[in-house]
Amino acid sequence: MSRQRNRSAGGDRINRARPVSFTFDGKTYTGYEGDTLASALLANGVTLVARSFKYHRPRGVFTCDPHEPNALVQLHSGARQEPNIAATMVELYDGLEAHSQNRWPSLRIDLLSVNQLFAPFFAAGFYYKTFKWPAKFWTRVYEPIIRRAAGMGRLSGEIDPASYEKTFHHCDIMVVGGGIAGIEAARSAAQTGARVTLIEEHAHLGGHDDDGLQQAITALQAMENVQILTRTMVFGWYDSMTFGAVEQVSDHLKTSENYQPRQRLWKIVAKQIVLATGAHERSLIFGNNDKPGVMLASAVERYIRDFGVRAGKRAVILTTNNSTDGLPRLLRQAGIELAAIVDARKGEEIVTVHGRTRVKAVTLRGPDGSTRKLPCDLVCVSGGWNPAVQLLAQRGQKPRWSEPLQAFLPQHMAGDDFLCTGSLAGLEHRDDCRMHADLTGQIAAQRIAANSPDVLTVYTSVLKAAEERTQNFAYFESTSGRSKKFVDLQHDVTESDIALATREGYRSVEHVKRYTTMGMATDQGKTSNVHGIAAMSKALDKPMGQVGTTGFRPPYRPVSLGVLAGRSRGKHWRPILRTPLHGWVEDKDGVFIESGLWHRSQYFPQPGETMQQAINREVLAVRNAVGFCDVSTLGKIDLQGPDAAEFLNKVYSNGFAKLPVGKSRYGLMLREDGIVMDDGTVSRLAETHFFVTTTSAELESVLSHLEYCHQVLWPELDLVFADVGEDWAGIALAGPHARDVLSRIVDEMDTGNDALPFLAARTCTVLGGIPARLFRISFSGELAYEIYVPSRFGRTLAEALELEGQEFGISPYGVEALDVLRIEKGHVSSELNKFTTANDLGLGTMMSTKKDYVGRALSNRPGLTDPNREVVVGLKPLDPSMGFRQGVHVIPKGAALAPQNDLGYVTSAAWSPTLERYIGIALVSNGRERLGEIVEIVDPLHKEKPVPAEIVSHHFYDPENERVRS
Amino acid sequence: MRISCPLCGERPLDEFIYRGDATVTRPDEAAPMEQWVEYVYLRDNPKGTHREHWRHAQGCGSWLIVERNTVTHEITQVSETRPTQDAQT
Repeated sequence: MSRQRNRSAGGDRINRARPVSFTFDGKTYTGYEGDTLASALLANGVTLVARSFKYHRPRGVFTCDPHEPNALVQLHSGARQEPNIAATMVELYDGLEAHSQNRWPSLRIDLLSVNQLFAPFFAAGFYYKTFKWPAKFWTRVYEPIIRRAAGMGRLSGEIDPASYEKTFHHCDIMVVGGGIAGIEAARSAAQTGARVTLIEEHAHLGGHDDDGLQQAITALQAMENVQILTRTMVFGWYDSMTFGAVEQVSDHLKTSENYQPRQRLWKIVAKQIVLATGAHERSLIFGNNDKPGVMLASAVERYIRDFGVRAGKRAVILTTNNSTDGLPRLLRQAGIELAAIVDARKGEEIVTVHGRTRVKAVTLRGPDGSTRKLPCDLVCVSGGWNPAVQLLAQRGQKPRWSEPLQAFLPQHMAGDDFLCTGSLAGLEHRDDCRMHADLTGQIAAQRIAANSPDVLTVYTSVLKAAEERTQNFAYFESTSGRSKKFVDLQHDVTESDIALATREGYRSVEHVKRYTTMGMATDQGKTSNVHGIAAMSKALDKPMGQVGTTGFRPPYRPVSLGVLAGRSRGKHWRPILRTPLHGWVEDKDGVFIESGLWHRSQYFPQPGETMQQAINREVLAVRNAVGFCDVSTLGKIDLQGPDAAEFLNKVYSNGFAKLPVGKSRYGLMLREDGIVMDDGTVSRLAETHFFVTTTSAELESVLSHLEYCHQVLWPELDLVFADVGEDWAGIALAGPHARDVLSRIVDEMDTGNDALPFLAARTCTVLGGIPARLFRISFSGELAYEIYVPSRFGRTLAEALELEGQEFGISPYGVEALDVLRIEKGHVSSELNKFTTANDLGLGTMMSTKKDYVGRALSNRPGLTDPNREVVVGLKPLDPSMGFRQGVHVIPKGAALAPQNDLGYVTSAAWSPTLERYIGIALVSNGRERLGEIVEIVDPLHKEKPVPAEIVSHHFYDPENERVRS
Repeated sequence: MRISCPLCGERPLDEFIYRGDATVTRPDEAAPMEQWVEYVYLRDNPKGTHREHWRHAQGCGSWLIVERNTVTHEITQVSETRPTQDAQT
């Protein structure tokens, strides 16, 4: 345990009565409750905290801000491990574990700093110029090395154990920023009773200097119509006055309460927004301006005032403005010796910083050009202040350059639903800020109350006058010399990189940004952008305002993916759809498979059976006896009305206007571009009443399409329809004994072949009064029926079928057997893959020539009628025991394995227990002309031997349809 | 973003599905192929006001015509495609 040798007196935020122990890179230190990790490290004299991104240069704490570019650390261990955290925002607690990152083997001796020797090769744009040759080295040599060297911290690779929440919030006025201006605006806006929410990203209100604000803060906290959110960062401003914010709920605590989330996502809808986001101090450009010990002047100040921490022992102040006027006294109070004040306004400058792992001395130059070297260990830099315009710019506003302020200001200070105030609006003095914020709050409240156009004269004139009064000194010059002058600390972008980019022809600030990567790190250029723009301005001889800033997009600062996911993770990331038979399948030890959101019964293994054995048994049971399968997942649509038949006629390619009552028909639905959308069945229960089924996966798109046709294309047609999927449980009963079993369950109905022929459709009752719909349609190719009952009777029906079918050897079957049966029969299913037309599928006869229907016109275009198209055929391996996978390709026998020899691909593949061989369905170019031809089925991905196969009709089983009509 | 559905009121964007230009008209059955190709594939890409189809998929299911500015995303008008008696606005 080391003493905190850099603690000075004072420190408003820390509690010296409560020391706190923490580790950094395995070493234990002490801090106080109220410290941040950064302040505690500085207090302990730890100046080397990180290694920079590209060059692995030694880095220390640079700011006292959330957008700290240097001191990025890795927190925690195990599953909680998280990289790239700004040490300036980590609230210290007992037992905190932190590590430096991006260094090997250690922070002090980082061998990767050898990169600095190759610096000339790592200039801007080097990715585009190197690693190109030889081409084959890319995957095997360059990429693996780059991957290992890239990035900063390391992820744990384990599942995030934290929980996250989301919440919605509505308010009248949202005030972003809890400094002087924000507090004042919130207080004033709340006077009329409007609901005000004040959001502040730090743990405390008060901003940069909360001197004398305590009373205002207390008053605000007492107001009932004001909600204050601290530790909350507004990261995005979205359409319709919607905002995203992240609240740190328990991250800063050592242990959280049960069920307390780590972070909370706020989706906020506000009627008015007041932006009081303040301004960020910027640095200056000089040699080695990235050394540990070079810090923003305001940061040095805050570390003294808020934390009682001396960032060094002997300081040099480098300034361009009066915000540093109070610093010398503070330094003295803290026991820091002031070696010199270097005032750019007087023509003084720092040429370079000396020291390896921290500042040891600086070389100064006077206005007369004379230089001198000064020993010191701390450089306090203030190059001016940048209003925090990012949130406003997310809405497309390009900030404007203000010559008097020497900074970018909002283009528009006020709009219909927003108002800017405080230093964001260019006000530099506390009293100005307070007065203007008060006025802003009033305007916002008036807008809520009155909703009439407001008078912004005073609001605007105050800002204008303040700007005109100002005459800030800008210092964007940089000194000569060979040491690196950094513009973007986080991405190691130097001034010469920007000059190089402009020399190579990059003119737009957006291009220079991406070419040099300036402003692309986690701080999004908050400390670097303006200097980069100034460097461009100089190189291109273009005024700052013309160079402009790049666009800003959410998030304002990095947001964890976990908080965006919220509770939608693991089993909760999407809903589970269960059929009415789910419990029954579970009781029978059936195995489930996920099909979209559905859990479907896949197969029903008997004790000791493998999956393949179960499937084979189920298939043979259907072929030789009888089986039943849960088809409840099919989409079901109930359609009624005088024009229902005409409507169906327009949406299906085959005819439905004359479908007799009591009949079902297979229907083919096309997209308007001629591609097949879905196949299903349409059954006419009465003159104006139809029952439509769709495939399970296509229900949503079919429903959407039908609604579009009904509401947009043919609104004059008189019909209604509804999705009745959840209302009906459906079971397919199939096999030679299907009729026998059906007769046992259906009430008072002649089930003979004449009374209930193939494609019959009936409403009836089953099992003594349960309403049912009965359709004699077959997917399997056997004598089959689809029985629908209200879903609460699904289980009852299944149990009854099993009981009544016992003497016939009935067996439940799942989707695996279902698929084998339909492949044997040659029913297309996976062949409907959004690339195939009716013709491709061998269903060309289902395209009526007598009526208009969706998809008709474009079906006839040359590309879709090309005779060389891949069409559905069957594949019969010459060796019946040689199998193949769905998705593999087909080439001519003996042809070379090359793309130009590709004939098509396998869309369905199965072992057929009925035919005792492997079979498949494929889309093959010119397939129908190739019947009888021998081809090869190839699978180079799995290194399988080519399978010679004959191209045959895909109707392997009962091609004459004798079984279905029996 | 929110859309004010005439039947359901102001609802968040995730309840809706976007389709596209609402001003294209389905050609007559006998129209030449060029017109059909234009109807299915060709679209203007205006910078500014766009009249487009959205469906309130997770609400009432209505297809709506929404007038939206493609630059500012401001929605100026929402109407039913097939008027019902249920519209509140």
